[in-house]
Amino acid sequence: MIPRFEYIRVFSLPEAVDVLSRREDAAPLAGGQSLIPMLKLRVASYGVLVDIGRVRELRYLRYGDVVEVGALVRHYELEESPCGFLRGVAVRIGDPQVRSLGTVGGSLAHADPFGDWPAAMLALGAVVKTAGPDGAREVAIDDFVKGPYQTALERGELVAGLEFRCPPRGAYVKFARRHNDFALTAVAVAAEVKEGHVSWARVAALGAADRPVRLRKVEALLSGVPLTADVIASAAEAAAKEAQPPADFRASAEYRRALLSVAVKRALGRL
Amino acid sequence: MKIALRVNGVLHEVDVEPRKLLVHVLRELGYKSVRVGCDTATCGACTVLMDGRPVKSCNVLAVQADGAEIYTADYSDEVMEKLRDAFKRHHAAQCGFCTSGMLTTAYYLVRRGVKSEEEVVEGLSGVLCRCTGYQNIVNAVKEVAGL
Repeated sequence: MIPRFEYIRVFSLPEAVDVLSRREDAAPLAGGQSLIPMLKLRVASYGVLVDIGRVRELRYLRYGDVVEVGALVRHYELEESPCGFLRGVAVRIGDPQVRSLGTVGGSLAHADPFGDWPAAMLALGAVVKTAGPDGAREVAIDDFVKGPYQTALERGELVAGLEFRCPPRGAYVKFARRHNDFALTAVAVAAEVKEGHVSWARVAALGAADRPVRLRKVEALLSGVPLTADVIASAAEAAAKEAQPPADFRASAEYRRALLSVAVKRALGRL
Repeated sequence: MKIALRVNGVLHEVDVEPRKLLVHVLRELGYKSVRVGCDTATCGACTVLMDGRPVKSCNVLAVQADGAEIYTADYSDEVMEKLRDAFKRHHAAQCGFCTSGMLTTAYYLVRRGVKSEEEVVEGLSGVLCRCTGYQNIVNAVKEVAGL
């Protein structure tokens, strides 16, 4: 059984921020799909769980010029998104059960090095909107993930939502041992292609470092050129060279490096 | 903390410790078809429908489910009856341990209008059958889904 904790259910964002900033041993509970397993395993332990699952103002999803995703939007809600890139990511997360409860904001705040949304948001160049005791902040995704399970969130701060533009073209390619397992490696690409030439591309990867990273050499290589087989091949090679993949029980660094190359190739092939 | 759960149409009001998982509360209420398999949110044997979506009840605190409508494999309506019947005829249960999770997940898939074998397989991917009798399970679900 999970060790005892105090449970506080909040119904508004100010209430959540108030409890989280007052109580040092407090953690927010959204979908709980990472938090609950961690509590069971004693990897994490908190004196207070602040259940933000019923905070209405974090539950919004708007598709305009800018896509606005509230922190409490659950993965499954993006499975049929009008933005193709989001659909491609959402359907590859965990399994339907996890997608029923897991939230986009939770995935960002948790910053699991193999979580899907942090890499996807890197490719999108998203802005992370936070709420905290000192008010609201907007943090560029490139500055948000600081390391494995580490983010730019200060004490008492929450992810409130994300904003980005749906890319004209995008792809998400993920390799995992089992269908619902964490990624061995994954590549997210957002790009615009005009008259056969790539005008810009943001390429992010999981399993290429100890945290999700942008593959900047690959991005530079793609900029302004047509997406020919040769370009794609050299991008795949550059990705393998640029990466410093971690080794763990799921895969060796060398295997991840090889997969990364294939993932880049397939992702670019789908643009 | 006092919570309310409507399970297969029956309202229960129970006092639970916040650390208690939904799966344990359901079993203590007598819904023994909800299985504790791995207790690590991997196997899916504890899958129930919570407000129409499949969830692993070992990965939800009961307090999170307060006010929810829960369906277990004991739920009865036309679709569930058809699924149970198809599972029998297709020999879709070997040891039977995963069957509750398979049935609840399959119910969700059929209700959602699953359109292909691929979608059935993906849809069932969160429930593990260690007898590895997947093909018969997939066949049973396909039949009820009209595929």
